[in-house]
Amino acid sequence: MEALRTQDLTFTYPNMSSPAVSRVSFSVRQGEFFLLFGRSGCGKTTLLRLLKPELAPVGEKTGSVFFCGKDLSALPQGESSAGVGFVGQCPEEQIVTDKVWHELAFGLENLGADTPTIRRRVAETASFFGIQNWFHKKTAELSGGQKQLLNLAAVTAMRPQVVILDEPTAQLDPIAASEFLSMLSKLNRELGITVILTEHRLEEAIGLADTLAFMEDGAIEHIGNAKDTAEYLRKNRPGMFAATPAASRVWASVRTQLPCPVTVREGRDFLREYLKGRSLCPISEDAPAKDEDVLLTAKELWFRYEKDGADILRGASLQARAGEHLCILGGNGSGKTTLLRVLAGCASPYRGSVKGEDVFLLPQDPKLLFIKNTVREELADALRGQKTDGNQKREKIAAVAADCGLEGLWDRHPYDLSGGEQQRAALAKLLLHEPRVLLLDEPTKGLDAQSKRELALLLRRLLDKGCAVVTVSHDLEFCAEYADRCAMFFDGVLLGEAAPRAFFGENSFYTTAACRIAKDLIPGAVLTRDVIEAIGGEPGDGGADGAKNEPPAAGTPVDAASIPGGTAPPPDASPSHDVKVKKSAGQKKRRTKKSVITAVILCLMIPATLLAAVFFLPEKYYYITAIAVLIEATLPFFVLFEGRRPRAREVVTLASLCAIGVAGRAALVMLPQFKPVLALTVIVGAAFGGEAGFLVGAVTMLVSNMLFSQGPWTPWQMFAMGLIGFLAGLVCRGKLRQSRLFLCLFGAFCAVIVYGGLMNPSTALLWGGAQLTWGTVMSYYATGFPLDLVHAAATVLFLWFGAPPMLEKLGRMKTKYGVFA
Amino acid sequence: MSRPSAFRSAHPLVNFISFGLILTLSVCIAHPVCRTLSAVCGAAYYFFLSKKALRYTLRVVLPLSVLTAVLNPMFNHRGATILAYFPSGNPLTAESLIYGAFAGVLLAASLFWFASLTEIMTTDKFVYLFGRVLPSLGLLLSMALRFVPLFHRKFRDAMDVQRASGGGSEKTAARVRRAASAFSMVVTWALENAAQTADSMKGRGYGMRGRTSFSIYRFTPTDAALLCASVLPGAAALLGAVFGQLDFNYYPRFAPAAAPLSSGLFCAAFFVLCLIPLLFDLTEVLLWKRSERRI
Repeated sequence: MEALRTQDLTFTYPNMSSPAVSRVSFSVRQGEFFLLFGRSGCGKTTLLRLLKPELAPVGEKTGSVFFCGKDLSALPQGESSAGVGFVGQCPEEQIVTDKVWHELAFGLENLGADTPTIRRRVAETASFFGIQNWFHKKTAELSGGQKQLLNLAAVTAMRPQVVILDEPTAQLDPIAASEFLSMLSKLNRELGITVILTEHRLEEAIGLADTLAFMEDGAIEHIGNAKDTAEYLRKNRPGMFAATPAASRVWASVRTQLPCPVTVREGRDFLREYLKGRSLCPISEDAPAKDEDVLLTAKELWFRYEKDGADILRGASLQARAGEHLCILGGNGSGKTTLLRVLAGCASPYRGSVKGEDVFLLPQDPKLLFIKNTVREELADALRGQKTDGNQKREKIAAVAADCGLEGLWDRHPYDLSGGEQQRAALAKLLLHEPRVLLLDEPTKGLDAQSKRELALLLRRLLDKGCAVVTVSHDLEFCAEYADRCAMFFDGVLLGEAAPRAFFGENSFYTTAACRIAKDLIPGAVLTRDVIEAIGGEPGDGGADGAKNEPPAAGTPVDAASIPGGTAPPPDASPSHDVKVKKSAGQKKRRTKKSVITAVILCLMIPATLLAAVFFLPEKYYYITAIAVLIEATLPFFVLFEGRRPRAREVVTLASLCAIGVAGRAALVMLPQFKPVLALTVIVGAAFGGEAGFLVGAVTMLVSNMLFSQGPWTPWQMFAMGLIGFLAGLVCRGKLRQSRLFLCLFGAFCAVIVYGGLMNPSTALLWGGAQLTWGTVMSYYATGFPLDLVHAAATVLFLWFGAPPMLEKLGRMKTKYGVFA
Repeated sequence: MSRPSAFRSAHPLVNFISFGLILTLSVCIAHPVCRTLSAVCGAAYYFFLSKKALRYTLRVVLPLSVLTAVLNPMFNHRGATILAYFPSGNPLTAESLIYGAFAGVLLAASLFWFASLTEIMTTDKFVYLFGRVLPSLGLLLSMALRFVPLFHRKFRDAMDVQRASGGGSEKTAARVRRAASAFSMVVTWALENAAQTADSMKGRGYGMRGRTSFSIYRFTPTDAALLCASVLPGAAALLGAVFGQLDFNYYPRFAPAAAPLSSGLFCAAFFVLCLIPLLFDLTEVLLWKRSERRI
């Protein structure tokens, strides 16, 4: 019985000449472990998304997908959501809620399951995944590996028949990645769940898979088991071997009738068998250590984050020399990133010293460097404040961009680039500062073999110019291949510094797969290339091996070249982004009648409450009346929001904006009333309209009071801030009224008149009653006025500098993702 | 910094109703004895819960209460007992002083109770309560709560990067510029990544009709008992307030408006209501001590 079957599935993105997926027909048996692989941009992600109707990209689709014999597109949403689970690449961004238990329940809530059912399923899932120990934790406190396990568990809780995973381990360190894969294999073996997986690190996944499918240019070229596939690749696509396990690469380099090995053990068996009666060729050796200038010296660094905390650095010393690539390897959480922070001067050691000039750090996430809207602006931003004239700057930018292969990407938004391109853009930004020492934190994370190779070439060119490069990484293969010197970071110090062959040859666990295969059989072999050399094989032409001395491939970004059709969407990044979401006629008026009626009733209750208070209630109920009115005025917005059943993107965007407001308010807590919330609310109201403005204003105040301090002021603040957002939506429309000056004036007005006007008398009302005289109210105004002025000044300041870029960013959300458009 | 509390582990609905009754009645009942009791119980409970209580009292509660107490006699000149005259010619009356003082007590009571509420009503409980009534809002709250620490960490990382790539100048202007760049980065990051989170939501069936709201809270018999223990005295005090048995005249002379016996009884009911949270916590402490000996 098949779980999923596609028939002649063809898909073309809008405005593209050739299809991204063309005539794909395959079927996956129930309980099969199906591994899909191919180059970046070959259409893997598009194909996987087509198998999940909720995530299917917008474009022209022909052919069909059958789920358990039924046409997937005709399936009710509930069945397809539950039946087919999807786990993507980034552990962090897929998590929706704040608590682990809530995340597990989220899918079941959407399906409308009742509480006892959810309780049982969540308990069951948590026990299976071993999550019970962190069941009550906040999702923010989990490690990357735990987060990705949680994502898998959350999908599994919905009892899917098929789980689709798109490079789920790309962002994980090797240990977390293998834990994740073994959990996946357990799901497959013990529960019989069908697994469809893409991976660019095949080394481990290949051993788990029943079937491998090789994809090229949008079509599936070959389907078979591991050994068949290896045979096929050897014959037809030798270039693809770069991604396969070391054992298969060694096997593919020679002519032999022996079966293709996949694992290290099989590789050793193969090698032993193959070498019988053959003699070894000599292999190349490490280049001798150069005696160049020392550009960065760290001596006896001691560092810890907290006074009573454990030391992270315990006397670490290192030297980085010109033209030398130093790779520091180490386990997860060993403090490698901390070491780089100290070397880069982001943190200072309490003992020891760092000496070095022009030291720059490329963080793990290259997005941390992007603050502008196009690559062009990003690069220009890096040179801001330097005293050179425009032409010189332009030349410099052009040269660096050419070096990093960024041509043709000038006007792209940095977030629309693929992972490899993003990294090159970030690197270009750093290179404009002309670093002498470049520090890289996990530069190969999430990159495929091709991008890794390009990165290595780029680094080599830098080294040849006399820079020093220090890389911190988990990626043993990368370090073995491209380092000049390696060292291990353990227990706060650097150990065993040596050239890569000497370094990895010494180790027996912590070493490359090739070294483990060749241990004792071929002395001194560390790289796959070494093993191949020793047994006299021919290196594959497109492999990562032997790339070190190739001429630079500047100006030909391979990611772009490999996309059918040339330009447009980013290869493996979710391609639906570039498509404007079309709004159907019914979509805008999605509000249900019930919610509108409820809102109207609530609004009518305001005058009713006031009348009742005046005529029936004694004066001591003033405050209660006021609160009732506030609630009646606030609730309609929430009810309408509920009634329109907000789209996922809108909820996430609103939640993000609220969180930004809360975090901003918390960050400036030391300065009384110097708060950014009002400015943010005005901007959101202006960009997204009154309803969104009200929600962001009110929810920001609610959440920050939930986190920090509740008081009688909570309902007042919620209403006042919400009202400001609503007013901004009404008033700040059109170009003129969204100008800086107008927004600043509006903001100041709101701070003093609306916010101050509501908040100041609120305390007086609490005890007022009939004693509430004009004088008391005014005296409260008078005491509050200076703080209102501070608030207004802060708002004007934030709006003056923040409004134009923020409006631009929110505008992009509108045009590109169709949020509140 | 807060002490473990049995009341905190009760069902959110119980917490909410209990605090709701206490706060509403504290505001509605003008009787000076009730106001004092409310303030004393609120303070006692907050001091029981939090180590920051003393600082909060000195920094927030006292200044605000004193301000309230002082403002009333300055602007209110009712009352029969004239103590002195302001330069403006208006009288300063003993009644307005007393009224101001009790207004300050009320303010202190509400501040203490709200501070305790912050300790007891954890974010989860709010998400639960809102989610019950308005599921989308509950989800919005839960997601906002998830994003706050995430953005905070991103901001810190972005600050690091700015420092490492823009020169580590410690001048205020440079630091402000760095913070602005880092903030800009976080906003873009947050908005752009929204697409992935939204995909993850859609992939798990978000957007269908009939979404339910799950919680890990169970309504136990203890919760029922606790609820009764709050609602019964609360209802009694409310009846007393509605039928004027807890009225009190501050003007023209400071005097009770109802018979002392019945108002005393209703005051006692209110006192019980205010004591319940602390009482429940203390009972649990004793129960634990006793069972600990038997382990």
